[in-house]
This record gives sequence, C-alpha cells and structure tokens, in this order.
Amino acid sequence: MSFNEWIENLKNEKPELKPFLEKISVFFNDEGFNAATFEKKVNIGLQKIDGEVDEFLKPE
Amino acid sequence: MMLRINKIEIENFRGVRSKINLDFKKGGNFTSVLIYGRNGTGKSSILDCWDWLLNSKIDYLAKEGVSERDYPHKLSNGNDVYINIDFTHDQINNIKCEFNPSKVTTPIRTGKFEEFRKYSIYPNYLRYADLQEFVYKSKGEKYKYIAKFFGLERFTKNQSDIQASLTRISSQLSQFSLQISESKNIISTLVGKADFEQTDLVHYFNKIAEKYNLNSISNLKNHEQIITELSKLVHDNPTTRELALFQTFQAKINSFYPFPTILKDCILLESLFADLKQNESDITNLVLLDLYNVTNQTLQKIDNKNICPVCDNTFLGSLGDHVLQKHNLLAGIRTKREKYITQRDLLIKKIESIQQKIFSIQSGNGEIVSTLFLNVFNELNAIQQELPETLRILRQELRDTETINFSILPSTLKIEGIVSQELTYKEFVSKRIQELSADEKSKDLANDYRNITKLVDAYSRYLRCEKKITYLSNITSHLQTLFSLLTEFIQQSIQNTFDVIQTDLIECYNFIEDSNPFLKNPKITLVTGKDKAIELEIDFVNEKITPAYKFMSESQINSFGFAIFLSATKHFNLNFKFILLDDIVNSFDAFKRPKVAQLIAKKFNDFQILFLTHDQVFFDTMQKHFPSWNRYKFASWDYNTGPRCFFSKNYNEEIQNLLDHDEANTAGQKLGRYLEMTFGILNENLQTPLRYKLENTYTLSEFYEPLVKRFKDKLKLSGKTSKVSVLINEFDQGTIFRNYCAHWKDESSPFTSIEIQNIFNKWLEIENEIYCESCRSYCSIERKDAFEYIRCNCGNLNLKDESRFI
Repeated sequence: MSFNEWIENLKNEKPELKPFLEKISVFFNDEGFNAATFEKKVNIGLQKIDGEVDEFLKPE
Repeated sequence: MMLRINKIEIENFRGVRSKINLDFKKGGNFTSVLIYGRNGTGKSSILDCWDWLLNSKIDYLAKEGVSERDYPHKLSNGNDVYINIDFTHDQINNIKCEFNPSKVTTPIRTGKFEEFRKYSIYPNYLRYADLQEFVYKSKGEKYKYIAKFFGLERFTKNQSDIQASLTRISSQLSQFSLQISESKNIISTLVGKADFEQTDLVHYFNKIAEKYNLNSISNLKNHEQIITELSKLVHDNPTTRELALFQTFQAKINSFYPFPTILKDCILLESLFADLKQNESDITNLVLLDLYNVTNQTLQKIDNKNICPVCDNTFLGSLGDHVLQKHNLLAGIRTKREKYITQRDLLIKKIESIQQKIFSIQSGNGEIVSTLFLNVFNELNAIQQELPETLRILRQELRDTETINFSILPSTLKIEGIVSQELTYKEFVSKRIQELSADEKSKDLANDYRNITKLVDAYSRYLRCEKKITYLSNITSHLQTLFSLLTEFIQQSIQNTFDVIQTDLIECYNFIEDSNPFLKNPKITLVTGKDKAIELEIDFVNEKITPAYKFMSESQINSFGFAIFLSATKHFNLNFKFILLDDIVNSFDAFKRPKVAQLIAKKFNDFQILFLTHDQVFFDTMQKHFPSWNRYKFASWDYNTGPRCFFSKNYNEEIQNLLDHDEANTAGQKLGRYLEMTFGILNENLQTPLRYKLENTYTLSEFYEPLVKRFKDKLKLSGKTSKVSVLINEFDQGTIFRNYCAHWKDESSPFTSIEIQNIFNKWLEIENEIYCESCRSYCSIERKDAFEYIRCNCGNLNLKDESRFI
C-alpha cells in the first residue's frame, strides 16, 4: 500500500479526521511531508489572528 | 514471470572507468557472479552503482558530503556514465540508468524502469557497513532501518517529519501558554481579580479617568482616548515625564544586564587559531584521514605489511608505522579544528547577542535619559560600529584569515568597561527614580500612566494568545492523532511482515550460528510504550532475552542482520531473485564463513547473486562451493582504466590449466595451498585431535596424517573397508604424495606435471567421496540421539552408510 492510499483509507475510516486530512494531504509528495510549507501556512493563520485582534481593539 | 539477469554493464561510475561486463549466464543457464578484489580495487563501486540505479542517490556517501555530481569517474567529465542491465523476461528486456550532467540529481532512465521497480520492491543489496550499522544502532535507528527494508521508508520518513513539525508547533503553543499566563497575571494584579472580563478592564480605565477628571468610556475599544489624555498630563508634568522615562529605562537596563563579556573567549580563540595555523598545510589533507584509517585497518589483515594495498609498490621502512603516524597527525589537527570551530561559534553567538542588546537599550529613551547617559551611548555606538567587521572575520574561511587579534580591539575593551559599570548604572537609575518619586502626585500619575499602557499591552497579548492557543491546539490535536495512527500502522506492518518472515529468519540465523546451541531463534519485537523503537530478542539457554546483544557478540548480531535481509528479500521480491552482497562476512571467523556459502546453497540456490569479497580464502571457499558461478578478479586499480578485471578460474581449473601448460612447480604450489585449506576444513569437521604447536605452523603432513587416522578410526564396519579408506590407501601408495608433502614449498625440488596430476586426480577422487554437491559441504561429525554420524549438512552423503563400504 502506498502512503497516499493509506491517507485515502484513513479518510473513510476516520470521518472526524477527514476535513483535517483533506487540508494536510496537499503537503505530502514524493519527497515526503513538506513541513516547511505546512508550518508557513500555520503561521499565516497566526498572523490572521493578530489582524483580528487589532481590528477588535480598534477604536469605534 | 521471473525476472532474470543476463548481463550487467557499468562504465565510468566512481572507481570504474573502462566498461565492466558481468555475465550472469553460463552455458545458456542463469548463474551468479563472484568478484574478488583487494580493498581499493573498485568493487564497491558496483554496489554503489546499483544503489544509484534504484535510488538516484547514495545515502552513505551523501552523509560524507559526496554529492551526485561526484559519482562519475573524473576522466569521464560526466559523459557515458551508466549502468546497463539485460534481462530475460517477456516484458522487461533492458534498463539503463545514465548520469545526467545537466541535472545531476535526476539520472536518465531508459527501458522499462518503472516496471522493473515493481519487481524490486525491497532493497536487495547489503554492504558490510549496513550490518555493522545495524549492530550499533539505537532502538529508534533499528526501527528506521527495519522499516526501510520492509518497504516502509516513505511511511517512516513522513512519520519523522510529522513528529518534527508537531514538536515545533507544540513549542510555539507552549510559548503562547507562557505568555498568556504572564499577561493574565499582569491583568489580574492590576484589575484586582483572578478571573476578569472585559468589563473589569473598562472599570479600571474609568477609575483612572475619574481620578484625573477625564471622560469615561463604555467600551474597551475607546481606551486610546484615556491613554491620550493621560499622556498629555504626563507630558505637561516634567517630574512625571522624567519619572516615566526613567521607569521605562530601568526595565531596559534590567534586560540589558548581564552584558556578555568576550575578552577571555577572544584570548582562547586566538590561542586555538595560532595553534591551528601552524598546521595549515595539513588542514587540506584532512580529507585523507579516513583513507589512513582504512589503510591502517587493512594492513592488520594482510600478510605483507610493507606493500601498499592500493598501488602494490613496496614501501621502504614500516608502512604501518608511517600510515599510523600520518593518521594520528591528521586526527590531532581535526580535533584542534573542531575546538576552534566550537569556540568561534560561541563567540559569534555572544557578539550577536551584544548587538541585539545595544540596539534595544538605545532606542526610544527620551532626551533626558539620552543626555544623562550620553557617554555610555557613545561607547555603545563605538562598539556597535566595530562588531560587524569582527563578525565578518570570524565567519570567513580559516585559510583566508591571516591573523586574529580580537582581544586587543577597542570594542572588546569597551565591552569590559560596560560590564564593570553594571552596578553603577543601575544604582544611578534607581536613585533618580527614588528622587523623582518623592513627589507623590507626580509619582502616582507616572504609575497610573505606566499601568494603563501595561494593561492594554497585556490584554492585547492575552487576546492574541487565547485565540492562537485555540488555533494551534486544534492543529496539534489532529496532527497528534495522525501521527499516532501512522505509528500504529507502521508498527503493525512491521510486526505482520516480521511474522511472515519469522520462519525463514530463524532458519537462516540458526544455520549460520549452529555452533552455538545456546543462542537461538532470534526475533524482532516492538518496544512497548515507545512509538518508534524496536528491539532484538533471542533465546539464551531457553530464556527470552532482550535486548539480544546482552549476550550476543558483534558477529552474532551481524548474523542476525544478515538473516533479516535474506529472509525479507526472499519473501518480498518474489519474482526477482537477485541479491548483491558486498564484503558481508568481514566479522565472521573462518568457521562461520563457509556457513554463509552453505546457507546460500541450501536456501538460495534459485537466486542469482552478485557476491563481492576482498578475502582470498573466502573467495576460494565460494569457488569450491559454486563452481558454476562466473568468477572475476579485480587484480588492481588504475586511475586511467579503473579495475583490472579478469575472468577467474577456480582452484581446480587453475591447477588443471597449469598442468596442461606443464607448469608443474606452480601447479604443485597451488595444489599445496588448496590441500592445506581443505585438510584444515576436514580436520575441523571431524574434530581431529592435532598435536599442539606453539609456533602455530603446520606442514601438510601434520594435517594429513591425523586426518587419515581419523577417517580410519571413525569409518569401521566389521569385515569391510570404507571406500574413503581404500582411496586414501591408493593415494598414499599410488602417488608420491608423501614426498610431495615434504617438498612442495621448495622451488628447487621440481616435480613433474605427471606426478602432480596423479596426486591431483587421486585427491579429487577422495573429495568426490566426502563432499556433497547438493548442499556444498564436506562430511562432518554429528552426534545425535546417542549416535555418531559422519555426513554432510543435508544428510544425503553419509559415510557410515553401508553402501560406502566394500
């Protein structure tokens, strides 16, 4: 069984994990898991939070 | 359909220059290939080439800093660098892997390579280093190694990458947790409540506003309004303004100190540098360190230690001492260089920290503080100006650096000055704050202003951290689940695979290690409680022991590693029975090595094998066991041509060939060496008592006489004589063997070709009677159920059987 096939099987076996697997599976390729790009995306999410808080604290 | 190899051609790859042709067919039948060559003759380039064919990259070389660009032989300039394989198969006739100079990481593959890959699922090549590596690996590393050989490499790589990512994200999560805790403390202290809400902050702001007759706010979003107005009050009050500035500056000074001192580090570095510079010409020779190390080890194993194993020239003096001296010199230089690099990196880190601290303390201090600390800031500026040049010199290559004198630089001495003034500056600031705080009203205003800005910062940080923690917790939770499921899958796959190959594994191991009845039945087990760890288990005197190497020697663990490789390849490359073995018997003694040959004969007779060895004796043993294999000798290596490769004959063929050419003396000497080896094996098998000699040198007679007696003592049947005994009598009486034993090493005592031929033929008749062609073993004594047998490994040849008597 290839790794991609295993991920696909997991989506069926663990439906609660499916949304996360859909997002993370794009970071797996022949070279392996592209952690750098994945963590970059995570950090973009963190920066969005900074933006949200700045917006929240902005005066009316 | 089974995939069979007809031929392998290699050209211009690493040590191979001229094309090497390895024929895997003989007389129309598929066969195996045995290659003998001393170290440095280019044998391992063949296995490296196979590794490259499968993986495009040779991992162990990459670890040594050798890139794909370095794979072609230097004289090829990257052209005509390839491995070409011809097969017999209904779909796959040929594959070729060629070096691509324009993209070195992607070789050009032609032929049905993808189809071929489906046949070669599991890595079918084994180097001695892989076995050795296996022995000394940690549990986690064993896990990775086993997973690779079981075809789970992609899974374990992803597992490692996910785990690393999880660790980093968890680290971020921890930092946010710490920050939120700090922020919460600040807020709780200021608003006076452990569990606060936004309204509590609004209430705090309005309390301050009321105190200074400012407009209140109904929503925290409007906090800027109060801060701006309060800031104006602070600005209009000189005492408060100065107090606020000094309070801010005090916080900065507390972060600034302790300030790193670098004088001692500079002095130490200069000393290491001077020491290293004395040996500068030898630093470039550090690449030779491994060569000297290997040469040193090789010289231990060869007889004539004054002939260079690489160029075959005689060295005047002690080559061993010379090599050792060179090695030790370079090893010492390497240690010095490592010390220098460590100290240099430490100094670079300290200087970078100094730069950061200077930048932080100088910014945003206000006029009053800047004026009072003008001299200090001037000193810091001067330091800051000099440090980039210091860093530049530190980062450049050693060979480009003439001298270093950081310890006497003005910046270094200024830094010492700054360090020594820590108490003075801190006391000055404290005293000033105390003086300014004498006016209660001003002090109150400064504190309120500081608190309110602190509260806003803390709350902003609190909100960010709270959201980020939720966000990252969700990610880490899912990632952890994925990691756990992947680990479970890998472990299950390893265990399932292992269960499948268990029988073969035990058989292979027990066969090689049959001389040790106490250590049996090896097993790989997954370590309970650890997600990426396996351990080796074995039965020791019927008790399960883990880890296995508690009671196993290095050689025994190598047997284990070898058995795993053989059983896994046998099971998973079902339609491609081909394995490559490079010097894998190195740690096996002279009694265990023949076992490898016998194991191959017994369980891998249907395999095609490419067997590489630097051991002449083992080569001869393999030739004996597998006369149908094609044999090559790499006689030497030349930079312009690569290995000098010859098709080699086995002992019998060589002796006969010499006799056919009437070279009686050479044939006699070769026969003598062959008989020495064979008598040794037979005496060992029959457990012949031999007279002990302190100097450990035996003549042929001293091996032969006791052997003859042993045969005659052990092979007795009432009224009959064993065929072996009859043949031995004919050998003694019908040839000049006794005379030959006494003089075979003496070149001045010539024998005729007829005489040697006689001895040779007669001996072959005896061998025919005591050597089993099926299992490739001589007869040996075996005691079982109170019976004593003299038979081969498979039992087909039993010398005590009545049919063997006349």
